[in-house]
Amino acid sequence: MKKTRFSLNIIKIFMKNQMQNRTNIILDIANMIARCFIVFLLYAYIFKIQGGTINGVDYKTTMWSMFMYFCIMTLNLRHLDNEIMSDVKSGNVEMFMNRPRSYLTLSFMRVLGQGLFSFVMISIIGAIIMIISIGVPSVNPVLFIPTLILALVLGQILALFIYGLIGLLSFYIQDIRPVHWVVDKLIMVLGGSYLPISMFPKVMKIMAYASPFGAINFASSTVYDSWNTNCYKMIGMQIIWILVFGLILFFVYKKSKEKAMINGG
Amino acid sequence: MYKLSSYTGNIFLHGQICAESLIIKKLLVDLRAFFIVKYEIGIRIGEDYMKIIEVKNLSKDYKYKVKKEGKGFIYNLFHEEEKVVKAVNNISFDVEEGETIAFIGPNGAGKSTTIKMLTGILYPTKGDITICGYTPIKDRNKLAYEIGTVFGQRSQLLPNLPLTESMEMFGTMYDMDKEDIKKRIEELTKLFDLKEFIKQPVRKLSLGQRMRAEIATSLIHRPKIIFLDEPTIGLDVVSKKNLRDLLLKINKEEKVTIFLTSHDTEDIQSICERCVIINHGRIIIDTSTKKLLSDYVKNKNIIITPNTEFIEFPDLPEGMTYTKKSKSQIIVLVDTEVIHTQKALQELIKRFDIDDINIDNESLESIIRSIYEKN
Repeated sequence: MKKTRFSLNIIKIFMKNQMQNRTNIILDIANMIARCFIVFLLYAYIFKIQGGTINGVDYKTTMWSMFMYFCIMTLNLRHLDNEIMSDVKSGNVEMFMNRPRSYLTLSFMRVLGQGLFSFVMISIIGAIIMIISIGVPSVNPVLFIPTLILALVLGQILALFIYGLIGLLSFYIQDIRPVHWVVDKLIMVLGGSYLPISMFPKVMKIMAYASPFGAINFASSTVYDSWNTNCYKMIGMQIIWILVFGLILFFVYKKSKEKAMINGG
Repeated sequence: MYKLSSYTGNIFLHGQICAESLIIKKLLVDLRAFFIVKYEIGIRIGEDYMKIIEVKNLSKDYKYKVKKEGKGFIYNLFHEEEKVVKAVNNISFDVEEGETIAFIGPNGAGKSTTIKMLTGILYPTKGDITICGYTPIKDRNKLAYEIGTVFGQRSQLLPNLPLTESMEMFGTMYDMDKEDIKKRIEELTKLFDLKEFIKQPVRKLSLGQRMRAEIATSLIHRPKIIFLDEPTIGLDVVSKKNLRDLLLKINKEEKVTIFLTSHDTEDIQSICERCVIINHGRIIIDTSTKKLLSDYVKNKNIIITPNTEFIEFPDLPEGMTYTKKSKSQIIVLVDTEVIHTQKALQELIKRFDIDDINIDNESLESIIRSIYEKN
């Protein structure tokens, strides 16, 4: 109970802190709209020359999937590892290591708090624009809404664990950016940032569904027809990856605390 | 009576009243003895509790890799030599509850490393630490409720939000309920005079205001000890003075033990009753600040002003040197290990036509400097 209250409080406070940068939020929304606009125009053209469907998926479904992916990205959980690295490098980590709550939990809540407001705003505004411009996605609402929420939450827990793990590497190596770059690109590609998963070749599709990098963005697959049959398998996959990475994270964090080296001590 | 007899043995079975009263007397004596032992144990426990920090044979080594000169990249990739730096080398000390202690030393002496081990941030290589009955590494979470930390070069506050938000965040972190947080913020606002800027975003505060805010925030959960690592760094003289007064106030009013590191001797002199001087990772002096000032003063400055003007500056006996020669004032440094102050005064009176004399003790700064140089 106390831990939940603390976590919610941290999210709330960092959300407030982030909301002070109103210009940044407006720029984020503008950036999102611009990206969506360009991608949607490109895909409209591609679908048109392909006769309206690709791999049995139509333009509207693909666009909703891409939109969901972009929304998830605005949560900015991918910044977690960089935040941990800058805390470790600057020595600021010492300000949080002698607290009754774990530094890692605090970092998770901090990064969530920083991205949550933009995520909510962009999702709401974007969804309205999407409904007006291309219409409501053809989904089974009874299954879609609860599984979307579940896949989104589980995916973001997994993202926190993976990026947290990369962040903790900064206790061992000087620069984690090359590792971040590789993992981040894997998440982007297998998550459907460059190309919707429905258009992937078979091998890539298997990789997207079986790897932890693809599992982060399963929420963007909820609009596909295949979700109705595969959703339990995919959610199960997310849970397995959460358990695996949670366990690794637990041990690495325990070891990282021993490795802490801070300037002037 | 029968029941009592079963406790007291054979004598009661004989039913002798005098024996009964003897037994009761004995019982009372035993009871008294029992309570005395209890009382003594209580005092002993009390005495242990008075020691709020106990450090025994504490060491911390840092390892780093060194490349062999003259060898190529590939060789060094596989044959890196590991060097060990002893940042803290087998130190032991105790701190009592309510004490104000300065932990001082030159850069790289090991003072910050010690503070970080005491607060559970760094793992010691060797040795034992007990703070408020807890071992920092093992009981890091429990210990966190008992201590507060302020690192002069870092900030724990949220830059874009008013100070109250940071205080609330830390209050929640320490499991305080809303009412308690509110009450404590009011107390700290009064104690630290935060009212004028408590609603301002932290990034708009002056450095002096921010440091006050940092210390106040560290005290939100009513810790028993506060560790301050160079809290007055970068502050102007007025802000430094205000901060020192505040630290003394929290020591007096809230009975908070103060553990401070600083390069500013004024901080030490005005706040701390005790000084622990550390160099090359070892404690070289652990004494009261008063004793440090009296025992380690070996030089005195004699300042003389002339009746008319000083024209000549005659040679001085051994142990006396001019540090200032001017027409209106002469300052002579006297090494009291070579020449007694009284004798030095006589020598000066013989040589000059003096209107006024002042004798100053060596400053704490120069005492500490000479201790560093010796060690």
